[in-house]
Formats: sequence, C-alpha cells, structure tokens
Amino acid sequence: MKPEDLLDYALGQLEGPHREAIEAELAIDPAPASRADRLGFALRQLLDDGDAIEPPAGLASRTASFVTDRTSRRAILDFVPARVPFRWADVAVAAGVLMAGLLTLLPALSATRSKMNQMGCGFNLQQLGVSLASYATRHNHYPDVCTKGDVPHVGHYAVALRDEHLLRDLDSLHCPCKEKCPLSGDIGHIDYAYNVGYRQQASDRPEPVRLALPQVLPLLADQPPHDDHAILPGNSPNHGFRGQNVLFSDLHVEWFPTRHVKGDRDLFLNDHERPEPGVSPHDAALVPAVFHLAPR
Amino acid sequence: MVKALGSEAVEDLIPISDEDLFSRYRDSASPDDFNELVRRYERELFRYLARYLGNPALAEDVFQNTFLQVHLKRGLYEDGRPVRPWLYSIATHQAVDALRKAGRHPTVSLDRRVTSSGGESDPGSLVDLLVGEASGPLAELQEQERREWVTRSIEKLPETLRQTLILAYYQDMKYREIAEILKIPVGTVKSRLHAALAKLQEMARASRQDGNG
Repeated sequence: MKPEDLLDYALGQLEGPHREAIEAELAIDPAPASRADRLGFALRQLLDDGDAIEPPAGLASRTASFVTDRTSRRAILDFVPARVPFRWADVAVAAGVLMAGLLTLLPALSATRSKMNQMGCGFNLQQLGVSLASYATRHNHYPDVCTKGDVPHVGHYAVALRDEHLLRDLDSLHCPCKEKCPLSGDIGHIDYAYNVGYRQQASDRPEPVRLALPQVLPLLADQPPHDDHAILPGNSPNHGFRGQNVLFSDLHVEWFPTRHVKGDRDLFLNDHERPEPGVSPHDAALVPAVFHLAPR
Repeated sequence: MVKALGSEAVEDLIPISDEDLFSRYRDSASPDDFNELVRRYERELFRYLARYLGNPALAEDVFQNTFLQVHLKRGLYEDGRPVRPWLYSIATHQAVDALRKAGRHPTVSLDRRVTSSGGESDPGSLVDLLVGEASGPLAELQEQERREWVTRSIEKLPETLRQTLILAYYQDMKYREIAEILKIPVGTVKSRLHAALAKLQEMARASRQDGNG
C-alpha cells in the first residue's frame, strides 16, 4: 500500500471504489492495518482539539437583520436622480467652457500658423536667392529691370529667371502669409520687392546690381504697402504689418520687424528717400514688382 | 427584502438541495430562502471561521459579512454550481480581509526548530515521521493540556497551511473542493496539508523537548 493512500485514508480523503479497495486490503493484511491505526492515532493526537465550537445563540437572526440593514441603506449614488432634466443653464456652462477653451487655443494656433508661414516665406526667398545667384554667375549681374523699351519693369526679374529656366516653381513668388492673388499675365502676382539697381546719372537707365560688388546688398524682400506711385509707411502687409523677410546677396534671409535695416536707411527707399534706383552702386532700394518706376 | 427567521415555510424548504435552494433564492430573493441558507450553514461555517480566525467575535462579524456578500452576489450564481465550495470561498476571502484589517499575519511565529518552509512533501517520510513513535510526542500531556496545545499550535501555523488543514480535517472537505475554494491545484492542496502536518509534528517534538529540558 502506498504511503500516500494510507495518509489520504487516515485523513478521510478517499471515496468510492478506491476507499473500498484500501479497506479490503487493510482487512486481510494486519501490518498495514496496524500502521493505519497508528497513523490515525497520531493524527488525532496532533489535530483533535476537542473543541465543539457552537455558534452563538441568535447568529442566524442577527445575520438576517444585518443583511437587511445593510441592503436598505442608501448609497450616495442613490441620491443622484436617474434622469436629469434639461436645463439651459447647463448648456450655457458647457458653451462657456467651450468658448474659454477656444479663446485659449485659437491665439496659440494662430501664432503657430503665422510662424510656419513666416518660415515658408523665408524658404521661398532662399529658393529665389539661389536662382538669382545662378543668373548672376552667368551674366555677372543680377536681372535687369529694363531690358525691352525704356519703361522699367521691376517684375522683369522673375521673367528673366524663368526664361533662363532658373525659376521652375512660380509659387515661390508668393508669400505664404498672404492670400494668393489670381495669376495675371504669364508670371502672375509677385509678392516680393526687388532691388532695382542704381543710376549713375539722373537720366540714365537703371543699372543692375553687379556680382563683383564686395558689399552685401539686399536683393529681395516682402514688398511694402504701396499704391501705383508711392510707397506707404509701415511694414509689409505680407505678414500682417509685423515685419518682413529680407534676402541678401550672400543668400542669407533675415526677419526684420522694421523697415530700417541698417541705421536709418529705409529698405524700400534710396539715399534720396525715394522709391527709385539707388544713386550709387552701393545704394539699394527694393521696389514692389508692379510699382510704376518712371524713366528719367 | 430579508427578514428575521421564524417563518413557518422554512420547514417546507429542507428537502430541497442547496443548489436548487440557491437558484430559487437568486431568482426570487425570498427572505425565507435566505434564512434557510443561513440556517443550513450556520454551524459549520461559524466553526470554520472561528478556528481560522481564532476569535469568535471576529468570526461572527465575518460570518455576517459573508452572507451579506452572498446576498449581494446572488446574481452571479450559476445553476448547478456546488454551493458549499462557493460559500466557503466567499467566507475565506472575507476572513483573509478581516485578518488583514486586524493586522494579523501570524505566519512567522513558529518554533525555532521548525525551519523548513515547504514542510514534509514526501508522503512516505511524513507517514514515517507520524508513526515513528508508538505513543507520540504529546502522549505525556493530560488530555486537556494536549487539546490546548493543539489549539495554540494550529493558530501558529502559516495562514495558507492553516486554511488547508482546517478545511481538510475539521470541515471534512475533499481535496478537489479545497482546490476550488482556494483557487489552487489539487497537488498544492496535498503538499500544503502534508507541510502542515509535518510542522505540527515537529512543533510537538520541540514542545516535548522543551518540557523535558
């Protein structure tokens, strides 16, 4: 007989045929029977506490009362009405919270969008700067503003770049901060003012900016507020009058919150404070693309 | 919902099995059914809790909480599922919670000579250990002293061993029922029971040696 069976038998864990088989074996073999008796005695010695524990009187009725009492208590959620009536005040509070959220969020979104557009504008100017540099390498000067006839046309720089296959994407002529205008002509609207060169004499045609100049000059910038004949005060409308991006001849782009780039010099006027070509090779004025630049 | 005992209808409920009674109680929430359930398990469940907790007052609290849980969870009962192990399972959980709240974790207060945490796992060795002495280590004690020693020693057993021993020996439960109540494999039930017996035997020997010394 296995010791495990003997132990299970002594502990009363065996049932059915298994128990009957063990009992039959114990009945015919005195050795395991004696061992089983001693095991039973040892277990009783170790485990029999003789403690006939009885439940206290009335436990069942107290339990019933306890359960009744506990289940009849109302939980805090029981006081919440099952159906909340519709109230306009709730709608107003919700709308107020929503408005407050929007008012908090919208300026941040607007500022982020403005910053992104400002960076896009700077990228446009850098693309145009690369095209202008390529043009200047071929011709030793930047595009002229007056190649056909006597009437200067500032926007001609874009035509020159396109004709030389240096301007593949016309979208780079549009500042992303500004709503796009419908295209007109074969180039369309241009948002950037261009350096219109200089005149040696008052009656001369404007000369383009030379590549050989050691001085770093502004080449392109967000164009200023203007009408057909005059530059108006204030920053470029391209960025909501907050400032303008400027491309220099060394191809770096910089944001200026004012029109006065170096000291008191206005980015969009020459040394004579006029929206005209500079009065010397070192003088620069950036003029809007569709500005009426009168010949002298 | 639930009312105190005393209904004449209780007598009519006795022939019904525990399982049928509980299914009916789940569906009807009848106070008579509830009271009959409490009456049927009052004696054995209270004995179990009193032994396990070692405190009759605490056992009464746990007994009442057990039946509160039975009432609240009656909707979870599945038809045909044995009621007794389910009830013991709830009672055991409630008892463990009560011991935890009372800050009682008597799992390390064993005699210094009982060092093995797993106890005696080989049944052959355990049987040899138990029947090795003809009269046993507690034979010299008076009957009353021996019973008090048993009560004290069982209280000193680690909680998991005590649970298993009480269910198997004092509550007459089979291994598979204990496994269901404690949510452990049958093999673990056996090894815990053997470990409990081995520890008690060693504690008995240590007690005799301390008495002689």
